[in-house]
Amino acid sequence: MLQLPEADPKIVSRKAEIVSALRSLISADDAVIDKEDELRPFETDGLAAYRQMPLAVVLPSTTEEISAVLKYCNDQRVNVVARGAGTSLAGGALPLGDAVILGVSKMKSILEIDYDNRTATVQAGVTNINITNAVSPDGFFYAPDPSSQLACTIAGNIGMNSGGAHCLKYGVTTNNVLGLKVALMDGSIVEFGGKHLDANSYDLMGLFIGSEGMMGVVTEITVRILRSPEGARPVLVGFNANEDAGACVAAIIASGIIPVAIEFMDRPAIHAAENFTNAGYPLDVEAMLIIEVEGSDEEIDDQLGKITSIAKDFNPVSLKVSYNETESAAIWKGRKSAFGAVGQISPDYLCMDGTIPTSRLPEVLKGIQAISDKYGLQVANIFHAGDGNLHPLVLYNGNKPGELERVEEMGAEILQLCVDVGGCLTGEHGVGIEKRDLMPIMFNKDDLDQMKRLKSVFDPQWLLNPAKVFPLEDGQVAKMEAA
Amino acid sequence: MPTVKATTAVEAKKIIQEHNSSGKTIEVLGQGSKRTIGRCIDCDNQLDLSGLTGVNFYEQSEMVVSAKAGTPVSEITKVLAEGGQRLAFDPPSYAALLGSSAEPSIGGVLATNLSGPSRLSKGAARDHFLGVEMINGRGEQIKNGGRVMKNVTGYDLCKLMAGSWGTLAAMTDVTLKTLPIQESRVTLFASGLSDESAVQFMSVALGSPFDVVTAAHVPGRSQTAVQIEGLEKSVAYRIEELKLALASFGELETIGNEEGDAFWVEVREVNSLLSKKDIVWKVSTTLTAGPALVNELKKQGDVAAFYDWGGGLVWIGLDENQSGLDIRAALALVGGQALLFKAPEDIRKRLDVFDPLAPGNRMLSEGVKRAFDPKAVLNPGRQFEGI
Ligand SMILES: Cc1cc2nc3c(=O)[nH]c(=O)nc-3n(C[C@H](O)[C@H](O)[C@H](O)COP(=O)(O)OP(=O)(O)OC[C@H]3O[C@@H](n4cnc5c(N)ncnc54)[C@H](O)[C@@H]3O)c2cc1C
Repeated sequence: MLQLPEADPKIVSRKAEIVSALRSLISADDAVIDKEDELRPFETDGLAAYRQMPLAVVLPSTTEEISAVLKYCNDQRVNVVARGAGTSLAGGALPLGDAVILGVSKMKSILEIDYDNRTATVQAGVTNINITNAVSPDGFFYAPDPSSQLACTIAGNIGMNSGGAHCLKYGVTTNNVLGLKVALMDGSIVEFGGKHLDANSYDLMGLFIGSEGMMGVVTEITVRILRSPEGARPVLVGFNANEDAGACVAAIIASGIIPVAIEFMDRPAIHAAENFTNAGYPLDVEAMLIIEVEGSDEEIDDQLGKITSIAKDFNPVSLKVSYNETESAAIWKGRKSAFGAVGQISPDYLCMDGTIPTSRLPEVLKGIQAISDKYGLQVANIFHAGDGNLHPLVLYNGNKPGELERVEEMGAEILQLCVDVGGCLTGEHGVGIEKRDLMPIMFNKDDLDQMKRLKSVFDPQWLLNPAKVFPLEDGQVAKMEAA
Repeated sequence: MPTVKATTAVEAKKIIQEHNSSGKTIEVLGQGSKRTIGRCIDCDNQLDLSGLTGVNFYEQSEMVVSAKAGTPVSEITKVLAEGGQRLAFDPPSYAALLGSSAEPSIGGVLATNLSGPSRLSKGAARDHFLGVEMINGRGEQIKNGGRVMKNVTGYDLCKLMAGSWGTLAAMTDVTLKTLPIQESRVTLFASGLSDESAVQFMSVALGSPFDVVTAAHVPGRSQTAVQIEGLEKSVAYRIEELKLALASFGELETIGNEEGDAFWVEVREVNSLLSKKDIVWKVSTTLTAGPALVNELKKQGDVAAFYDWGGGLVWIGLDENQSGLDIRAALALVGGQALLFKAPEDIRKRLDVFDPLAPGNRMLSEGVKRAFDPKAVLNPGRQFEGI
């Protein structure tokens, strides 16, 4: 079980005073929450096995209000956890008992859309999908597309440097953001980047993105928007062996074609998704790829033709090209609801998020199977095969005593395997609390200390989301001064 | 200035440790091709990493290459070409522009985050930078990132290294993402466009669904160009569609692979398009704002300019007697950043080479420097005085 540092009783005992001070800083009446039943929705995030009630929740409406809240908390040494939609699968938005949750859910305005320069500037609480929704009538889109995009906010995407199924072609959040407005813990407001490309100074924006709410609170974001392609269609290919599917991916990339997405599902994932959605997936295969390309109809036919002819060298047992939107939607429906589908066949599941060098997939899947047998817990694997991001979903029953601990132990073994073959602990979900204690698998003390020093540059008192990313020492946050 | 050569990471570490103990400063150099860009600095010693060379590995099917930081870019390009791939951010060489004979090293390209024309669509050097091993100013060997394309494990120090000009750490090993060289590339040229309509031309092309990779306007040659790449049939189709979309801009000409490539090399390397200018500014601004900036400057003096990145990158050339022209004041009207890219030493000493930092950014940058290099031994003052 992962530990959270104990709440500071001195802060907890000052709750009433802190809440009333926060109220005086915020204009909206309903923006400071302190009653237990109203705090409940904030006690966890997408890593629902962990729960912790916060001291209070504050929901500012402007950059200035955020800055005022941070300054107050900085002066009073109160911890702050920034929160978007709370869909983090790593416990990134999990509260501390002595922390104020600073949510951006009231900041939902699209501030500017500039088609000539292909940028959109939005407030931090805008959901990922709403950026695309705002520009899609004019034929544009915002590229990073996490599966949680209906709910998750751009602030959370910045916090985690989130990815999505289409990042093989378009990159992840950090590759699609041009500018940030950020309130620092001392209340100062800084801007990184702008509407232009590339900084002539340290890339503080690049450092900030993916810093998991530990360096500052982002309040406004300028992103790059792209013109939508004329069309997109996938082909679905089933294989008798994981090795064949893996080799097929390598051959496609070696041929010089970069599809927008290459998604892999193994047998348990295919069965769960098919049961749940009737997407028409083949049930007699060990592995399946969804490979999507973009362009005009003729371009798509040309590319899919080349891809299917490559795939034919790898003993495909089924091959289905989508010829229209309905067929495409069906193919994607199964994949997109795969997490939910797995949720249907098991009381609980832990969604892992390692990345591996793509060529090691068959061996890693064998290793995961062995680990799964050892623990007697079933695993379904979903894999962004083009970029090596692997999501093993470990099925378990949280009500069984000791099972959560076993799942975590097993998860750690899987991630150790990912790192051993040259990969990493997390490809897109972030470290949060979930992988915090595993960081020493990848990094030695000097590596971690260098990161901690940077945390101190932005937040010298370590008040912002302090118990995340870095292993605790003796149950306490292990700070490190900047210099 | 005495030179110390390191041919392994361990040697580099030892040298930096010694400097950290003694407090002596050291200038970090790869191949030295960009020594004349940036502020003039005067260090006690020079750390020569040009012997730290060689490709560590290249995995074509994973689209990843790793090399020692001092490896010449051309060596990497050659290895990748054998696998039909390249560095898609188009690493530039400014040797001719800067009058240097040295070849850029991969570490140098990353440390300066300099990218060529396809930066517009494929991202900058920083976007292709997957992993790093480096020695910070304390003499500690630090690693960050890795060899896989998707990785959010801990803070992203690769981004921070890109564009830090050797002031935070000496990189010893770097890992980058690669992309396939496309089967077909075609460039579409328009001629005789004013700067304003050229920017419009590029904007229409870039706002189309036809996946334009590069877009530039060279007023001196009366050429405006956009490039498409991909499978042959697809390129042919998209070029025809683009011609329709751009029909109102007059006659258009298409040029295929080699000749088209030559044009983009000229744009990338700047020199032939701003020949004989003593002073060159690299200005990054909002894509459509370039012409207004250039017009403003032309009112004040004799200015040569051309546009890359769809208008977002404006290269400005001045004669030495025009050095007083206040580029940043004009730029403030439209927003963006200006780097004094090439200038005689006395001018580089007189002007801010990099844009002065806003107070909050200055404070953070000073902190970041201290977090890596508390005694300021590595390239002190290369970007900003005191950092
Ligand atoms: C079903 C499901 C599918 C998912 N699919 C994907 C996927 O495909 N790809 C992917 O990458 N992720 C995925 N996720 C994970 C999650 O959705 C992402 O991490 C997302 O970016 C979190 O956004 P959020 O608004 O919910 O942020 P939260 O969970 O509220 O917060 C995430 C982190 O950001 C920080 N943060 C929040 N607001 C701010 C702010 N204003 N300033 C600074 N830091 C802030 C928080 O402190 C926290 O560390 C999925 C999650 C679920 C539940």
